[in-house]
Amino acid sequence: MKIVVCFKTLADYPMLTERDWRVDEQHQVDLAWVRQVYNCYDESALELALQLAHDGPDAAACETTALSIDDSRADLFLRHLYAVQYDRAVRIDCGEEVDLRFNPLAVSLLLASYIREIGGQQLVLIGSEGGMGDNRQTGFLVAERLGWPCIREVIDVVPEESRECLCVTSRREGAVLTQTVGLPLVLVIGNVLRSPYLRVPTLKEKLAGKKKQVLVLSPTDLAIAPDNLSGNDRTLVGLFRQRQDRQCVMLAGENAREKAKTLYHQYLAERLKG
Amino acid sequence: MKAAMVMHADADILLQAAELNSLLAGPADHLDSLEMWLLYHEKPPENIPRFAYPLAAIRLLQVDAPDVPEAVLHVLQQIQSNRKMDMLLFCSDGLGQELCTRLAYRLGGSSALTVERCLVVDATIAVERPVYGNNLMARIRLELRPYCLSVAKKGKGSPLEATRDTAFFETVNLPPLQIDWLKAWAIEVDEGESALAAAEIVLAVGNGVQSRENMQKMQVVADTLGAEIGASRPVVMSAWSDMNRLIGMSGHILSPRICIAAGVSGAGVFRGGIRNSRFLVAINTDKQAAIFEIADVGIVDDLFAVLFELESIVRKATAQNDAVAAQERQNGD
Ligand SMILES: Cc1cc2nc3c(=O)[nH]c(=O)nc-3n(C[C@H](O)[C@H](O)[C@H](O)COP(=O)(O)OP(=O)(O)OC[C@H]3O[C@@H](n4cnc5c(N)ncnc54)[C@H](O)[C@@H]3O)c2cc1C
Repeated sequence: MKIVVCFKTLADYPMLTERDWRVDEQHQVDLAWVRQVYNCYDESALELALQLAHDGPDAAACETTALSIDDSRADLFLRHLYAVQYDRAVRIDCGEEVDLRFNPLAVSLLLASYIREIGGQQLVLIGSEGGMGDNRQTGFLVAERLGWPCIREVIDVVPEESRECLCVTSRREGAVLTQTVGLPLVLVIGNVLRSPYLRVPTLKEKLAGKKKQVLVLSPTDLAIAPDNLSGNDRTLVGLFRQRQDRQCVMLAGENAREKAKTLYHQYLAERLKG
Repeated sequence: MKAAMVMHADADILLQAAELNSLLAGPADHLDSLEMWLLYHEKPPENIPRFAYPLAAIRLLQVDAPDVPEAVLHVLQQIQSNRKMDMLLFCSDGLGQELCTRLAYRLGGSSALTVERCLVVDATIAVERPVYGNNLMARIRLELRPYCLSVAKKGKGSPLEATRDTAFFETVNLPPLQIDWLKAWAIEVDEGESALAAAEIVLAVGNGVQSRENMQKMQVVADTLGAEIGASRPVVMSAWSDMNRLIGMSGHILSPRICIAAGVSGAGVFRGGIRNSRFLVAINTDKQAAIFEIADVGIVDDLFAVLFELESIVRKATAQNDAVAAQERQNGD
């Protein structure tokens, strides 16, 4: 089985203060200086794929690929993924001119083209949300473009006993759905409780990972003309920070007891009564 | 413009309706007709929401495999090819988001999820939705018809009133889709709904709580305050709290009377879940924590020290009130 996990690193938003959220005239925010982190949903997907591939009895027959559409800043993460034993690390670089933030159609075109034309994988894992546009649509659109079935809000996947199918667990409103499904398949990964975080590589693995080459592809390598990427079903016409209406009153006091007393007597006693 | 709301009878239909109703405020004046397409599995619902806008028709669509979106999409594609709507509105849940995206793709239309506001500008549709981890709001113009929108989760709000007027009901029979990739399936009720969604007082606990044992102590505080516990993602993912307690863009969107956020940094995605609290208290050791930006009252201190004191004050006050009430009852006898 060949598995591909599509991921996108994110700026560590909680590092930003109110002042940092400045939007320029081109609707851009300068985040170049902000540390990048794994999107937590993608991180769970990356770990889930490793477990499915390496911890099962068919480990030798499995191949794992980590795929990201990004600039060279993502190479650090792709090498880290080599270190945790991904077989392939691939980056699609579209150059600075192409704005993919609000274009999940183009993102899914790139991913699906890689899978169909080059990777040849039968199983796709992809985080359910994240990315600057927070579009939440990429996984669904990859499935549509490939013409494959799709399962959303996946929280676990293991090989089925006969090993010909997968047993996929997903979350529904107030319920858990377990499905036995054949390949090919797209899984959109949600809140994975069993192992939400990526494993930690040993020092030796880290060093080995650093030496490996990330495969960098351009849209042309995927037979996609630049015009095909600029087509979109939507246009961003405004980007703004919402005003915070509240003025926070900081409670002073010698110690926690005093502050708790003020909180109760001045603010909570009446409100708690309803 | 002709519009249809795609709803499913399995979920709370009156709440779905309230969310969709709020989205209609923008395009209402431009609508020539509004329909409801109601998906159901075994039996259609008896109660139908009463919208603020008149419904031209309610079309009942039976799906044999409601948990397989491919089967639902197949049905929707067929009805849209007959009805040719300009705009399709979907619910805020996972199914609504998936159907919205995939149907728009199949129909060559435009789509957007988590839509907070829908506007008609120069005869085209524009939507506002949170982006950049709920730190910014984007205004996006949709270019292609049909415009497919999935509404943002609104939290409990007030459900629409129900009516039993089934005069407009029309059952649409469509051939089902053969699904060969699905070999077997089972669905089990999980933790169920927590009481958090409807809570008037919420204690929202973040990673600052540090352990499962400490989380249990928070439960004692919550019980004394008459509050329901909610949690941030790290707390839920460490299994210190159940998944149905998750607050934020991926969990509950709440609007309680009082919310006390303790040991949460205030990431945009989390803030989206408590921003609409009527009174918001934040407790954090870090005075720079972003959570203070949306709080009414802030305390820079250790959450345990503050909350244990508060618990003790409230416990004493409650005991005193109970004693006074008992005395009054006795006097009355
Ligand atoms: C696509 C995406 C979607 C997400 N959706 C959600 C979501 O819906 N909900 C959600 O919660 N998160 C979500 N997250 C995660 C989110 O980005 C943050 O990582 C998360 O909200 C942080 O939780 P926290 O504030 O509890 O933890 P931390 O950021 O670790 O903050 C802990 C805070 O506790 C304070 N603290 C520590 N000890 C004490 C003490 N003793 N007393 C008082 N204060 C103390 C610290 O100063 C700090 O501010 C999402 C992330 C992504 C990428």
